[in-house]
This record gives sequence, C-alpha cells and structure tokens, in this order.
Amino acid sequence: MIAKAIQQFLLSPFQWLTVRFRRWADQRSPRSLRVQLNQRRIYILPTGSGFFWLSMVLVIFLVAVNYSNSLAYGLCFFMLSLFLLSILHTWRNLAGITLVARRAKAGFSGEIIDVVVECLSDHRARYSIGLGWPDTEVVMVSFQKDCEQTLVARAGSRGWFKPGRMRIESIYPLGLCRAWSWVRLDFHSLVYPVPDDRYPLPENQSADDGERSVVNSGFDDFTGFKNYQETDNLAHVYWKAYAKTGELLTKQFEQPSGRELYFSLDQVPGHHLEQQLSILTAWCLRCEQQHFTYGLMLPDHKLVPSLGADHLRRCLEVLALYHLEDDDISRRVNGIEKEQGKNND
Amino acid sequence: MTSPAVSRYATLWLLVAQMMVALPVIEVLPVSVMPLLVLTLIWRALIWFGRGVWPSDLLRRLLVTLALVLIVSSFGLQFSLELAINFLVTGYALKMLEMKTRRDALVIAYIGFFVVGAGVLYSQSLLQGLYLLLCIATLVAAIHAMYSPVDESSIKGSLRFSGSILLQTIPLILALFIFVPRLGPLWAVPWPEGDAKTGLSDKMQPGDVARLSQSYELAFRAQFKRAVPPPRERYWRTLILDQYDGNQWWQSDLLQLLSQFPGEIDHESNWQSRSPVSDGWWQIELGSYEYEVLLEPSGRQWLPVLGPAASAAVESTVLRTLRLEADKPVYERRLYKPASETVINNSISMPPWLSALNTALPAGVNLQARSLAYKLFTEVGQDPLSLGRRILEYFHQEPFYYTLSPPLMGESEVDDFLFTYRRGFCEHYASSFVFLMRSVGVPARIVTGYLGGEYLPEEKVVRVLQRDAHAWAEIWVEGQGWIRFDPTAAVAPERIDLGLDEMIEQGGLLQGQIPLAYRFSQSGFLKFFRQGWERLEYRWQKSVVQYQQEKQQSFMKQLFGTSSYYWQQVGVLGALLALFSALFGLFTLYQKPRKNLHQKAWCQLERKLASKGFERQAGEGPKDFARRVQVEDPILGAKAISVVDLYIQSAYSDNQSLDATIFDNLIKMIKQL
Repeated sequence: MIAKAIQQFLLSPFQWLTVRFRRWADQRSPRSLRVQLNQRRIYILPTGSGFFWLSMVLVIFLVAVNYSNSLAYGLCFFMLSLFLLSILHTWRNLAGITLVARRAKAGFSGEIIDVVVECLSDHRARYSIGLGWPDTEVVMVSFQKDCEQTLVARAGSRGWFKPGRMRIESIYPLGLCRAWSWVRLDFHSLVYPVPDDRYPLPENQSADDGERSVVNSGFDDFTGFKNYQETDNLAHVYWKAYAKTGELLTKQFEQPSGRELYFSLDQVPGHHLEQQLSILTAWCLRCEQQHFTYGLMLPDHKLVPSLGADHLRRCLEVLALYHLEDDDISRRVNGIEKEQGKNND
Repeated sequence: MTSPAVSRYATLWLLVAQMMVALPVIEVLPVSVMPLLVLTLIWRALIWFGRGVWPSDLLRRLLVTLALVLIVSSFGLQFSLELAINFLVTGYALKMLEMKTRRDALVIAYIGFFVVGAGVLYSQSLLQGLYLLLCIATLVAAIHAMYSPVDESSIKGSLRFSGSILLQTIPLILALFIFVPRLGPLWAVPWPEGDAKTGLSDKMQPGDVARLSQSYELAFRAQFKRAVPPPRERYWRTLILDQYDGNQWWQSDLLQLLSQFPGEIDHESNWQSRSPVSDGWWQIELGSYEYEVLLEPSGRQWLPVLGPAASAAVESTVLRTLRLEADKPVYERRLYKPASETVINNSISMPPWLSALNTALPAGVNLQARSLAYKLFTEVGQDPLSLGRRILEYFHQEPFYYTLSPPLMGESEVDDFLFTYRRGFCEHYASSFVFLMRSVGVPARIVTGYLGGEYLPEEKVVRVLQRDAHAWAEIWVEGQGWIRFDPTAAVAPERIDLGLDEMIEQGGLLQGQIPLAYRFSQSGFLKFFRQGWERLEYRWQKSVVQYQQEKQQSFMKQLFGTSSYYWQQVGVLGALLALFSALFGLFTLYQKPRKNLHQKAWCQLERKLASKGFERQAGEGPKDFARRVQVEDPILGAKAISVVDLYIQSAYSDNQSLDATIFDNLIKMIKQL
C-alpha cells in the first residue's frame, strides 16, 4: 500500500499531490445540498503574477539595501503589505458565500446538463467569481445580493446526479492570490443510463415472455387537429375545414402501437448490467418514438406497458436507479416523488 | 488559458499612470527619446478614443529598434542607472502599443512600480514622496480595474478601493519600516549621475553653499573612539580656497602653482605629500580625537577631516593647505581613518610664495571694502589678530543678517554685501572677511567644509548632511600659525551652536529688515507656508529618509535598553504582523449573526410575549404560538394573532423589497402589545 503510494508519487509527484489534496479536500467538505464557504473550505495560494510580485519586492528590497534608500524601503514594504492584504481581501471575496443546489434537469449519462445553483451573498457584494465545473465551463459572475446562476455540468454515471467537484474561485481584487474551493453539491435529479441504440427491438417474443400482438387499427382514437404538414397523410386531412376556412388541418389519432412490448433483462443481449440497462433505455426511447406500448419487467420493479412522457420518465427512473449500490435509495425515491409532486402542483 | 481583455477603465488608469511615473525621472531621459514617448502616448490615447489603429508587428519592431538605438547612442552600452531607467520607461511606453490582454497590462503596471522605485533614487524629498504615493495609488487603481468585472468597474470604484487599501497598508508599512533590520550595502551599485553635483565644489561663488543647505542628503558619518568634540568644534575641513578673481574663489592646484611661482615650486613634493610629515612643513603632536569617517559617494577627491590634517591617510595625500585628498574620486562609499595626530600650530612653515598666494587680490575692485580694511587696521594698531576680532565686531554691530536666500550682488560683490545689502549666507561673510584681511596684506583664505552634524550618542557617531555645509576663514598670524575665524558666528551664533536645522526650527533665520523685492517673497502667508514646509521637510528627512542603520540601532536601543536588540527587533516585528493579521482576520472571520429587520421584529415580539408569561416552545411556529396564547389569554391572543398575520404578510411577501408601511405598522403593533 505504502509502496504503491511512493511509486505513484515518484512517477508523477504533481498528480499524486493533486489527487491527495482533492481527497483531503473532499473529506473536509462532504456532499451536501447547501455549502457555506468558510475557512475550512477556502484554500488560497499566490498566483503566477503574485509570485512575480514577490520577486519584484525582493528586487526593490535589494535596491533599497544597496542604496540605503528609505523611500525604496518604503516602496518595498508597501508592496509587501499590499500582497499580505490582498490575501485577506481575496479570501474575503469568497468567505461567507453559501451555494445551494437548486435544480438540475434530468439527463443521460455523459450529457451536459443545465444546473441551477443559488449563491447567497451574505450581504456583501462579490466580484469576479469563477463558478462552475472545470471540465465543462467556468463562468465569471459578480453579484451584490442572493442570486441564481445557471451553470452546466457533465452528468456522470446513471443514478442520482452527483456532479463532480464544482470549483468556485476568485483572484479579485489585485490578482496576486487565488482563493478557491471545491464544492460537491447534491442535486435531486437523476441521470439516466446512456442509451445504447445498436440493438434492434426484440422481435419474436414467446408468449410467456409477455408478448401480445395487437392489431393496429391506426385510425381509431381521434384526439384532435393540428396544422397540416407536408409529411402528413392526405387521408387524414380534414377537408371540411379547408372548404370552410381555407385552413389545412390534419386529423390526429392516438396511434396505438402495432405491438406491445414487455422488456425484461433476459431479452437484452450482453452480460454486463450497465450495458443491458443502456440497451433497455434505448429501447424505451425508441418505443416511445414509434408509439409502441412498452413496459418493464425487472426482478424487483414492474411497470405495466403504457405510452407517454410520464411513463417514459418512470421507466427511465427505474432504469437509472436499478440495483444502484447506494445507501439510501428508498429515502431518495421518496424524496424525488415528493419533489415531483410539488412540481406537478 | 488565454488572458482576458483589458477594460477601458484599466487602460485609462494605465495611461494616466504612465504620464505620472515618468515625470520624476524625466531629467534622465535623453531629449531624443522624448518624442518617441509622446508619440506612443498620443497613439495609445487615440486608440482609446476609438480613432486609431493598432500598429502592425513590423512597425512595433521598428519602434523598439529605434528606441534601443536612441538610448544606447546617448548612454553607451555600459551599465548605468540611467540606462536601466531609460529601458524601463521606454519599455513602459512601447508596451502600451501592444497592450491587448490583461497579461500585457499587468506587465505595464509592474514596470510602473519599478519606475517609481527608480524615481526615489533621485530624490527623497517630502514632495517627491507624496507624488510617488499618488503614482502608486494610480497603479493600484489600474490593477484593480483589470480584475474588476467589466460591467461594474468604474473610476470611482477603483479609486475608492485604491485609497482604502492604501490606508490599510499603513500600520503594516510602519511596523515593517521601523523594525525590519537595515543592512549595509551588499555590493557596489552605480549611483545616479546627478548625485555628484550635490556637495561642495572646488569653486565657490556666493550662493553655492546656500544652495547646499536645501539638500538633506547624507555627506558622511564619523565614528569616534573616545571623546567626541562639542558641536562648536566640529569644523569638518574639506577644501581650502585660496585663489580669487574678484568673482569666485577656488583652490590652487599644482599645475597652476607651477606656473604662478615658477622658481619657488618645482615639484609635487612642495605641495602634497604621502609620507606623514614632509620636510619642515609642520610638526605634529598627539590629538585628542580618534575617529573614522564613512564618506558617501561624492565623485570628488577631497576627504573631510576634523581640524587641520596633519598627515596622510591610506590611499590619500596630505596637502600643504592642511587637507586630505584621495588618490581617486570617491564613487562608492569610502571608509578612512584620518591620522589622530594634530598639527602644532606654531610650527607651520610659511614660505614666501605661500604668503604671496594668500594675500593676492585682483586690483581695482571693491575699493570701498579696501578703505574700510585700512581704516580698521590702523584702528587696531596693525595687529592681524585684533583686526580679525574687529571685523567680527563690525559684523556684529552693524545690521548684518544671516539668510538662506541672499539677494543677488552686483559687480563688486564685497562692496555690495558690506555696504548695501548686508545679508548673506556663510560664504558671503567668509569671503568678505578674507577680502578685508588680504586688503591689508594679512595672509588669509577660505575654508569650506561642514559644521556640526547630528550626534547619535549610542554609536558615538556624528552624521553630517550636505546641508551642514559651511564656509569660514583662517588667517596667518606670524608665530602662531593659521588661526580660524568664523564670521558667521558673529552674525548668527545659533548657527554654530545649534546647527542650521534647529535654527530654522526656532525661527532664528530671516529676521529684521529685508529689501522690498525680497520681502515680497518672504511675506505673510508665503513665508508662513515656506517655513512650515521647511519644518515638515526637516522632520520627514530626519525621521524617515535618514532612518538608516545607525538611526535604527539607536532607536532600538532606546526601545529595548542597551542589550542586543536584533532579535527583539525581529520578534516585535513578527508579533506586530501576527497581531495585525489576527485583527484583520477576526474582522473578516467574525460574521455577526446578521438578523434582518423581520427577524429583529420577531425577536422583539417574542420578548414582549415572554414578559407576559408566554414562552415560545421549540418547534412551535408563529401561528401555533399565537393560537396557544389565545387559548390561555383571549384578549392578548387576539392581538398576537393579528400581529403574527401582519408579520407573515410582511416577512414572506412575494415582492423582494420591503413594504415600509406594513413593516412600520408591524413595529407599532408589537410595541402596543
């Protein structure tokens, strides 16, 4: 263990240090819904120009010594004091900010997701603060009072959306020091498995797998009109309306799929669970697109075949959370249902 | 990662700063470089106003080459301070023409700090200090503007920041300035060329020494082994001026003497000597003072000594005029130890040529003065010593004044001074005195050097500034040798006892009647202002600029007693810095649980109800609390419910801004509860 650490350190000391530092920083700043930046979380080091500034202080100090020049001493001490003060001011620019994970859109693994983070300013104006995930985008923001910032983050593996370390940094006011903090925010949103579209929908399912062929009437359930588009079937055009108003309208029908599909893990090619879930995700999406009724039959979750955005979302949620090695899925599922209930209200 | 662009405000600040920081060093810039600098400034300003285009790469390179050629052609390739400053200033200006990103702008701002640093090498006056502070404030504002959000930066904001952070640095700077140990120079450095000009000169025109009295620069320091002479005996003999042409005094050199006295002087050994005592010049005895002198770079060869120099020091010669001359001009600080022996005055020989040299006067000038001299000489019975005393008496009795700004004298200077203006600085008195003496054939000459100096008792060091420059006279008395006469003492004895600075402090200067034209510049407010400023400048120089090694050591000894102070010094500095950061840290760290107005109102309400015996329980919301109150006390409860409703309406309303009328109502109702 130690030997391995030493080996890693010798191979690339900087990377080793970075990894160590981040691990240590993570311990100090556990994942949470809201994070206040305080002395435990804010780190500060001179920037490149800060180091250059210090070397200037040294040069002017040497000038002062060699010329026994009191004003040169004064200038040198001023520059040193300015540097020391800038440490405090830069730190102060971040200190006291509270970041709250507001909301994030659900998305597929690997996608870039819009995330809303609320910044509570603690009654002080904050300037030129870099905010965001370094692997996507860091935006520069300034705010006088509490505000919401829309950021983008890359969705990780399926399950609960746990974006990586968000970085909040500032070199305001003089660019001599950089104060930064790594923040891990918890969002109540899901990351669906990345769709794997390479496999066709299962064709011939045996009866006991739940296959049920349905004759596609196709024109049964009239649901309404929409404006005519060139691709629409001419047989569906509501000519009467055209005769009256000159408007081309197309009659719309809920198109019950020709097939009803009940997916279970056994039908999915591949042996790896994650791959199978990806394929199932792709199938659900394709069915939704092609208006096939579909359902999921997983060992501990069963969703009867249906169609529509809500159904799709439910399926994706199940796939996202299926067999997730997470400590408190149930609590979170309850949580998300509550949240969704709120959203529906 | 590319550097962000520079905001317009930051550019504006940098343009202003460029003009400001170049000003103190403008004398160093060669005339040929100036147009280039003005051109770049105008060009950049045009771009700022949106009327110019960025110069192309080729043009920029051409400009840089041109600048280099101009600078090198005026300074040569040898490294000097002036060359370095020129590179900095031109670099500052030319970089403006390619300043597009923040990185470029930072480079410019940082060069600005270096130029400010170069400025203090040329002058450390109070005015210069204040001006450079202004430059620094501008540069800090520029850097602040670079890092401010573009849409929110403003001139006022950067200025406010710069001002406030400058104020915050003051305690830190003070602690560092007082306690950071001052080191001696680590290696020899090129000194500013102009520096050689301040200091004594081997030619003296009236007014020269007065000009020196404006300079607070250190001339030298002397460290004494045992006894230290009292102020009135600290005559630092530096130059002997024995040649006079009716207008200016200068010192003889060997070449001139060879031509003036061809038969009598034939060799260098007649004039200067390396060996302790040359044949029969004088005899020596043990002196009462033993000391070493650390001379600041003067660019000259003469070495100040206390009293007549009896024999040569290392790498120097002693001159027949009883002074020391270094073998080479002093371009770096030089330590030397004058011989501790002193000259036996009556043993000094006076060959005829020397006597002739010291009685020579140009014919036909200052006739009035000559007749005065004859008159006085006969009065005192033709005795040189008595004549000297009589002349001093004359200066004392007649309305003569001592002034730093003497009026301009005409063709016959001595006459003008003695009979018309009667006010002057030490050199006027000395040269008149010598003229009067020579008029009656008494050998006399002017001695220039320094008088007094500040004594630091802890180190037994006397620090002598350029402003302590002084001129006095000596006359030859047969059988007694050279006798020192200081005519200034007769007019302004304070100058001798207290030194120039204390004299100014006590307002001892510039009293009495003053000619009209002169009075104007000295009258009322102007005079008051001038004297006030002079005093301020003196304090500034004494406590800030001259706060160097010895001053610091003696200050530290005062603070910590006589034991080793070095570590206490560092310790105190560390403690002060720690204290300061702790204070500042507390100030930023301590976040008072800020309550907004509604929370305050709620606390007030709770206190009110508590005083009536109702404590809100943990987890009980406002409404539940009010309802519980109502159950037990219906009248109070009804009021409480309406207050709570109002509170909820005010605190949780949709619009962010506070509705003042509702809130005022709420406060009123809480009070009425």
